[in-house]
Amino acid sequence: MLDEELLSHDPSSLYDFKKSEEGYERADEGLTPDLVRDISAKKDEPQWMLDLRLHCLDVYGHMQMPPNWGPSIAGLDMNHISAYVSPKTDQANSWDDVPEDIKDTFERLGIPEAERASLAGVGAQYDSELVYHNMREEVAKQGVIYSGIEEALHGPYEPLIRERFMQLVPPNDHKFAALHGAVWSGGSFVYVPEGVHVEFPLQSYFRLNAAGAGQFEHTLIILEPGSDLHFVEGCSAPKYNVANLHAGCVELYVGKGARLRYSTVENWSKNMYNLNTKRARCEEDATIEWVSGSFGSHVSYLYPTSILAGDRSVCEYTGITFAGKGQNLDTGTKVVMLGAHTKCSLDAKSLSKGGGVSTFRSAVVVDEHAEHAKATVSCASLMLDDKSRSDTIPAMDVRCRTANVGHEATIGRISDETVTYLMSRGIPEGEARTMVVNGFANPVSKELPMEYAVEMNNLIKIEMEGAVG
Amino acid sequence: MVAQNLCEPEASLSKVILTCTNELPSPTWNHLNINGINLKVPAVEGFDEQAWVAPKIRPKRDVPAYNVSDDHAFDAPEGTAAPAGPWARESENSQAAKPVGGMGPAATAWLEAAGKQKTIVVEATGDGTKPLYVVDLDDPQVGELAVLDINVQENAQAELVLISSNRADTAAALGTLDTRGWLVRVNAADGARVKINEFIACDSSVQMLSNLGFCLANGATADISQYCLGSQILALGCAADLVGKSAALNVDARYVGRGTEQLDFGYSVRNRGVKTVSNLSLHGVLVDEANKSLRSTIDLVHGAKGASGVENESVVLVGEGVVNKTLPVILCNEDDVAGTHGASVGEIDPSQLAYMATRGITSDDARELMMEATYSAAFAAAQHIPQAYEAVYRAACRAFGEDIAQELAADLEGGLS
Repeated sequence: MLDEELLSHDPSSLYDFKKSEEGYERADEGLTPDLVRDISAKKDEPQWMLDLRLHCLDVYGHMQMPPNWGPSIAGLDMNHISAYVSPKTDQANSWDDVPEDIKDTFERLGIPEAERASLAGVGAQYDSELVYHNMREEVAKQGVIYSGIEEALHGPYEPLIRERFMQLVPPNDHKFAALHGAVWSGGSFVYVPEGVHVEFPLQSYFRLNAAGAGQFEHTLIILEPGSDLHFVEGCSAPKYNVANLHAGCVELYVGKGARLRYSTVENWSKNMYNLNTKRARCEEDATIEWVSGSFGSHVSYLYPTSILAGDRSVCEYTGITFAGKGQNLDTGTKVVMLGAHTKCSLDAKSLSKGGGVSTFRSAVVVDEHAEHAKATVSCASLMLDDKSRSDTIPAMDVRCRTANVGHEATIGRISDETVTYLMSRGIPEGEARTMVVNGFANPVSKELPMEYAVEMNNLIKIEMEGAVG
Repeated sequence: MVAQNLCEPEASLSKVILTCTNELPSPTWNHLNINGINLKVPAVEGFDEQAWVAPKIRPKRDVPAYNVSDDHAFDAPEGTAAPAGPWARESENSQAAKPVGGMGPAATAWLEAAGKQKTIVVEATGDGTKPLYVVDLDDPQVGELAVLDINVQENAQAELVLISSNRADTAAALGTLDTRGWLVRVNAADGARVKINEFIACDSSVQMLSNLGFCLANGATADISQYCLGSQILALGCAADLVGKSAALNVDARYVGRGTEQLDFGYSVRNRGVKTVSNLSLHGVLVDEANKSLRSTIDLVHGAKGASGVENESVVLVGEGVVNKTLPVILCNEDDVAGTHGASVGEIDPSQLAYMATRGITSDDARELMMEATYSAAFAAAQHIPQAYEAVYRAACRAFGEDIAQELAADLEGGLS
């Protein structure tokens, strides 16, 4: 109900609005085997999934965060995070069937409008559960499967999911991958048959409304040989004065000759610990394209990883990170080049303002069998004041004589000459700086669908000026 | 596993491990085995390895707590956590102006315990001349392990030549590597200028530790040329604290790795003063199954207005079994700075090969030329220092045979005439 809406802390923000949790189911704080069994039972999962969850919980209990690198997560007390919050509504395939307050949330975020205008399908997750999932009929007729992953677990794709689920991101990958495996809930399953090209993007949007909660959605996408898909992921949350956690997991299987573009505009609130894991495996002649905009979160660890297993497979990464006041965003990418004639092109931009910390961290690993592999890494950082911090930590490990790896990076600030020039043309200084930053971000925004490029530019404007005009 | 083990084969002599050697000030994923190395060296009196086992701690680079509400902070301050790397035992922004060893606290302490120590004070001469100091580890008076502290006073100049080149393959006969090394700490006062030429030209019986540290005051400059032509294990660390206004550090390093040699380079430069300049340039060729790691860090510290830092590395991969790891880091906490880094790793550029082919040079010849170029540069740098010249000549003989070594030397003389 609209009258249940609470006032936001910052009325200028498009994303910072809250809804009442009255009537929601909320798991007790803390992590126990009983909680894991309870989540699994709610979803009526097969036994193998429960076994996997319990194994993951055990791994989580034994693993530590890396002691010597990355931002501190000392403020994240897992004993005070609720791993499961459900709005207690069934998943709908019509917005009319979605509860009014949740529907209003997504309308304010522009999701139904975007679906009508330019998407082949939409999944909308609210806290721990999917509340809406739909796909255009003509896309379904192509044989494309786009559903909630829990729904898919009860259908004919269960064996395929069992074969792939948490194989690219194994539980012992890191502590929060294990946590994810134990308490995951929601997320999407996409299957694109051989040779099918999906004309419009599919989108999943994740909204975390509940204070002190975690969101652990799992996205599993399988592209059969020769298929083509653009998948868009968006996320946001209202701001609270307690920590929230996002520890999602994305596993992408890109078959021979297939192409997958995975775009993300991340705008979590600034009380969020975003400890997300994304990984893709490419077979022969396959392409994975990551387009990533990271604007939100208090702390982020985010490094989409590409395993170029097949010969001639390709990875392109285009990303931008904007760290403002109170943010420590450790982002970047990893590529493991195993096949011959594989290629990767990594282009990262970062901005730091208001005391924010932005770290670009990357790794390009070229295996001894990756004959004639070629990698280029480019990183540009813009410092917008002298209170902030921007670090660049790119690793290259090359074990093949015929490989070719190039890297370049720059760190600097907006030149006074540029600002003076724009001001001499009548543009106020603040606007001039925003223009320069938008130009800096342009290589990323031009890769996004129009609606998301506009959203990204708005986010930049918010960060630069504190409000959308 | 945090650090890669760069340890020689088991030996009968008592050994200790130097942990966190050449460690990055700002580490990255541990599974890459690139954050630093562990080095096995002979036990010496006065060095307790346990005292130098550093706890793994996160560098103190976290954003201040963001007070969403007045009474709530998400992340507590890191407390007493100190940065990793050469300054691991010091406060990150310590104003203490003293050079620290680039290989890190453990390696520095070991060399201090094991090496012969000497302190030199260089005063300004008034006529612009600069004294030349030669440290040759083959000289019995110097010894195989040397510690040298140099205080270059205001507006003084000094030139230092460091040579490590074993004539006799004695250690191999004992079934172990002969550990050699130097710790050189340079404190350069206002306007001082220091030039260092470093020649490491050993055979496969040697493990070499090159541990350099610089503290540069206002307008002080250090120019370092390094020629790494041989050593079964080479660990080279260089730390520079550019504390004064307009202080400058220029490093030009060239290396060839062959056989199963393991080369580990660590550079860490803090641009602390305004308008400070750091330039790191490395060029190398890796042959056979050589294994090389480079960690270079330029830290543009808050307050270093107008500072600039440049890192560049080009690596030519020639051998089928080579391993090259490169990690050029820039840390930046100041907006009015310019930092750039670039790296190029791979075969010789095909367009260069095509050009050389039109001149009748085959690709094999071209690769040979790339190696020879490193030796030619070393010959040129060593020409006025007989011990250095001999060292380069010995290394060239080992690499190419006596005929080509003579040709390379003759080319230099021809070029000079």
